[in-house]
Amino acid sequence: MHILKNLLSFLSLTLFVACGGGHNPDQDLVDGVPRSQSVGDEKFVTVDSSDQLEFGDGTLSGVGTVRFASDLESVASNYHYKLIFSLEEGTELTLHSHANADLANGLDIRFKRVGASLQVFGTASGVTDDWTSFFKDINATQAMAIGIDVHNDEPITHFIFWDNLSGAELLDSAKDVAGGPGKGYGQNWGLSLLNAFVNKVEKGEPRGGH
Amino acid sequence: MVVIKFRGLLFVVLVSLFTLPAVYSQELLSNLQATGAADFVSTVYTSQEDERAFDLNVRSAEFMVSGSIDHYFDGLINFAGHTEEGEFELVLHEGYVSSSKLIPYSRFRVGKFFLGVGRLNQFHQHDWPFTDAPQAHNTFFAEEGVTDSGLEYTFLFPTTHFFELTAGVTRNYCYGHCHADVAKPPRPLFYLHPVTFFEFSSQTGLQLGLSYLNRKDDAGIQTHLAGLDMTFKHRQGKRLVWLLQAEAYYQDQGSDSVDNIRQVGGYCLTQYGLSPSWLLGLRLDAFSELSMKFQTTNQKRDDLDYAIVPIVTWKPSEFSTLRLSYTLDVDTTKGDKDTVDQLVQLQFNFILGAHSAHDF
Repeated sequence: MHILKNLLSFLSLTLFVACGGGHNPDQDLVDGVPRSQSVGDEKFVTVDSSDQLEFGDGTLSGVGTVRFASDLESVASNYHYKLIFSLEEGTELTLHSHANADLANGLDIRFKRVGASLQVFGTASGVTDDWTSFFKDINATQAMAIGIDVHNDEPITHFIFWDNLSGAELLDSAKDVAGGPGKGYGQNWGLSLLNAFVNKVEKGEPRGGH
Repeated sequence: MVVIKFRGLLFVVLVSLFTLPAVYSQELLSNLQATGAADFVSTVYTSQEDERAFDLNVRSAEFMVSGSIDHYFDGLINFAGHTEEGEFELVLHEGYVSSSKLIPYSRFRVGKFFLGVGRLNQFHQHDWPFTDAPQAHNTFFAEEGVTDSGLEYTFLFPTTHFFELTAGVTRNYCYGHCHADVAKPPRPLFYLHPVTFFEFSSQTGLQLGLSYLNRKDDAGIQTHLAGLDMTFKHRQGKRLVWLLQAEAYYQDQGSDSVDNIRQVGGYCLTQYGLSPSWLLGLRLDAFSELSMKFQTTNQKRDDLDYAIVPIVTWKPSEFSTLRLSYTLDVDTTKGDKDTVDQLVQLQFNFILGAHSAHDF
C-alpha cells in the first residue's frame, strides 16, 4: 500500500507537470513575416543579402539564402521535405536541415544540374557524400519534384529520397550507402539558391518509418 | 552489423541441428544450448489516424547457440532478424567468447555483444517486462539495445558484500542501429558499470548500478552518458510478487564547433504479480531536452515528454508471454500546444528450447 500511495502521488505530479503553452517568440517571428515573403505556405527570412532574390507570388528564385520562419521541433527530430524546383544548366539549389540560425552546422543537400543530369550531394560536419548515381533517372531539364526524409534522431542520420513525379524511391542512405555524412546540430531549415527556381517547399512528418 | 548474405543456407544449417537423428544430435549438441525466440506485436488502436492498419508483425525472431568451447572458454552466437519497413533482415546480434576460469574473481568476453551498461540494454527485447522501450532508452541506446564489438571485463570484488565492476572498450564505428559502418572514429568507445546487490532474503533482492559511457565520433562529437539503474524483486515461490525497475540517464553531446545538446530521461516500472501467470504493471516515462532554446531569443525553452503505460501480462509458462499495454504519450514544449498520442498494443512472444537465466 505504501508503494502504491507513492506511485499515485508521482502519477498525479506528472499529470500536472506541463511545459506547454506560454509565449512563443519563435511564433512571433513567423507571424511577423509578411505573407508575400513565402514559398508556398512556408514563410521565410533572408539570411544574407536578398537583393538578388525574387519572391512575392509564392515562388522563390535567384541567388541568396533563406531560413524558414517555422523551425524544427528539436535537434533530434525527423522530417519530410517536398521540393518542386527547376534548374538551368549549372545552377544549384541546396536544402539545409537541422542547422543553426545561420544555416551552418547542419545537413546540406545540394542539387546541381549538369546537362540533363541532376547531381546530388549530402554534406555534414565537413564531409560530403556524392549520391548522384541514384538520381540518374531524373530529367533535370524539366521541373523536378523530390521528396526527402531526414532522420536526425538516429545514431547515424540518414536520408530517403523519392521522385514524386514517378513515385519511385531513389535512395535510402541507410541501406544503399554507408548511412550519411553526419548529423545536424540545429533546429533550423532553409534553402540556398544559385539561380534556381523554387515553385514549392513543404515540411511535414517523415514519410519513411525508419 | 554483419548482414548474412546466404540466409537460406544458414537457415537450413540451423534447422538441421534440430532435426538430425538422435544419436548424431546427442554428440553434436551435448555441449550446446540452442534457443529460438520470436516476438509478435500488433497495434490494436492508435490515435494517429494515418497509421491505423492491421499491422500484426513479426517484430523479431532470433536463434541462439551457446555452450562450452573447452575447459576455459564458453561461446555464444546469436542471430536475430527484425522487420524493417516490410523487409525481414537477419543479422548477427551477438557473437563472443567468454571465460570466468582464467583470471580469479573475473570474467571477460570478446566479440560482439550488448554493451554491459544499464539494465534494459543488457536484455533481449523478448525478455523485457514491457512491449516498447521508453523514449530515454530509444534515445540514449537504440530501439532494442546497443551492440558493438570489443572487449568487456568484469571484476567481482572479494568482499562479503556483492560488488562488481564492469569495464568495456569497443570499436565505436557504429552506435545503435546501423546498416553499415561509418568513418573511422578518433578513438574507441569505453564504459564503466559498477553494480552492487543487496539480498534481503532468498526471495528478495535489490540491485543497484551506475553507468558511464564515453565516445567520440568521426565528426568530433563527444558523448558523455551517465546513469543509474535499480531493480528490486520480491518472490513468493514461483510468483514474482513485486518487480520495481527504474533507470535514469543524463547525456551531454557536443564539440568545439557545435552547441552541446543536453538530455535527461528515464523510466520507472512497478509490476505486481497477481499469480505466477498474471502480472499487472505500470510504467512511467519522462524525457527532456534541457538545451532546447527559442531560436529567435536564445532563451531556454522548457521541454518535457512523458508517458503513462499500464500493462497486463499473462505468462502461461516461462516460455510464452501475452501482453496488452496502453500508452498515453504527452509531448509538452513551452510555447506549443501539448501533443497527446494514445496507443494500444498486443504482444505475444515465445521461446523454444532452454533459455539461459539472467543473473537477476
